[in-house]
Amino acid sequence: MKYTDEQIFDALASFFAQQGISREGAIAVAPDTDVIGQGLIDSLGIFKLIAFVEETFAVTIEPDEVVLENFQTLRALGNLIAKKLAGAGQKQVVL
Amino acid sequence: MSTVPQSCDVVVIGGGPAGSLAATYLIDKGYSVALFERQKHPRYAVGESLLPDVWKYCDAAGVTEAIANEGFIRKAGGSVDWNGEMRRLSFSDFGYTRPAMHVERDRFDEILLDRARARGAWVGEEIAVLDTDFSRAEHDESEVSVTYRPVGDSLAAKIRCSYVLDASGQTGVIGRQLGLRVFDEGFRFMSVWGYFDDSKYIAADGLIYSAQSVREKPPTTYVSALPQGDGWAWLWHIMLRKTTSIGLVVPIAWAQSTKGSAESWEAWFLRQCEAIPLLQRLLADAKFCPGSVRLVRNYSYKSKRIAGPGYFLLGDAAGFVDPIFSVGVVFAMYSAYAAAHTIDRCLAQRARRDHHRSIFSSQMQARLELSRSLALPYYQEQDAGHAQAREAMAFSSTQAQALMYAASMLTDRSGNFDSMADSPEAHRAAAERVRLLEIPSR
Repeated sequence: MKYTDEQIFDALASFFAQQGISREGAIAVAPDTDVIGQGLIDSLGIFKLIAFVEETFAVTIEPDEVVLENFQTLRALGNLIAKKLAGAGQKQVVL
Repeated sequence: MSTVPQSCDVVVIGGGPAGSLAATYLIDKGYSVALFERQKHPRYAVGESLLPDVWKYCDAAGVTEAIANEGFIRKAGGSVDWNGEMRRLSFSDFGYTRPAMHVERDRFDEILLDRARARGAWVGEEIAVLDTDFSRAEHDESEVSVTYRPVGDSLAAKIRCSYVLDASGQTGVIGRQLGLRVFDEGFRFMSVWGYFDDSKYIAADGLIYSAQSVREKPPTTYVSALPQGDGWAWLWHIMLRKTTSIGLVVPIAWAQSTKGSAESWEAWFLRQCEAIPLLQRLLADAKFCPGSVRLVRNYSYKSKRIAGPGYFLLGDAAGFVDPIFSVGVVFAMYSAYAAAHTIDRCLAQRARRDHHRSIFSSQMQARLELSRSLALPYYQEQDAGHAQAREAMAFSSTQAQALMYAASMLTDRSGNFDSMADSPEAHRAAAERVRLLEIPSR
């Protein structure tokens, strides 16, 4: 399945809404919100988020990809997912 | 006790916080669990200070109300006497809204184990696990077997399962069996502790109060460097409901060189306590509880592997460092949550179980390295775990970083923090919230 950048962001934002992590809705998670620094994703939430990303987009997040650079904002995470999806798409074309 | 089942999804070794919470989380996800505990609850354990972080794990296990109703002592923060300066730290200054506690671990652990049992885990107390067999787990993780024996019984028996969680604490059943435990030769510490009745304590205002005031004037955990030690030795003073836990954490070599050959550990312990003027003031009218002195001498260690085909290590079974920052129970609870989540993923997607296990391992190791990097005196930047620890630090919220920095400042270990994080924001937040106090005795 193909996703636009916007669809990827919406899916990730919906994860935060489902988890009730956006504290009473007062904090809207924008593409550049620092979800780590603000504590919106903690050491438990990261397990759920990885599972959510892997199931939703049928990608694999490697252990060494679980770093601040990839998870600090939804924009960064969206870029990682888009890169993985593009890689998967190219492989399909080659096949 | 009903008959031990012949098979289940997960066997848990140990009924401390890690084992009981993991059992509860797994039952709630729909798996069958058998938990073996070598002792009988309530079982002796040292009185302990718990960080407010424990509440989120209690929430997830549905045990918050039972803990809150127990009426454990709420603590107001920490008072730390290090290098002649007394500083105070209060969790509420760091945005925590739920209390930290001083708990009798025998009772705290019993509540958590009762919860696992009430949720439907099969719980067997006074049953020792003798052996685990993972030889077939590489091919099929539903082929693990665990050999156990009820205490006082001569006949051993086996139970089959898909996974074993080793929550056996410092005993480390699987870690020892598979040779996974690695000791830090440069940091061989031991802990010696005992109990006193009617000790005075230090409250958040820095003043000294008598034991009777402990409900209306919440105590702080009082921590002091041992002036007679080498800068890494320290003592704790933790007010409990009926008694006070006082303990020393010291290098094994130093303890052995200062203990007279005919001297008992109890006499040595009391002699060390007497060398600290402020502690003596708190203990002026207190009564030592004879026979209450215990020691543990297995600090500190980590594990070469933290999970493998068919098993996961939790809490103290995975790693243990200087308990100065009170992270032990929080780490145990965290590992219970992480393991339950990972087992759920592995059983739902068997083909990807190696991947799920690798996420568990890297997250757990990073967190352990972070604890080690903050607590160990000789932690080096060239240490293999340093990059992992830095990553775990970067992955922490600004609030959590500020608290870690403040805690390391109190105990003269801020150099460790500085090598882990470049966060001016956390530094500023910490510096603003740590209060310098007058030392009551001087």
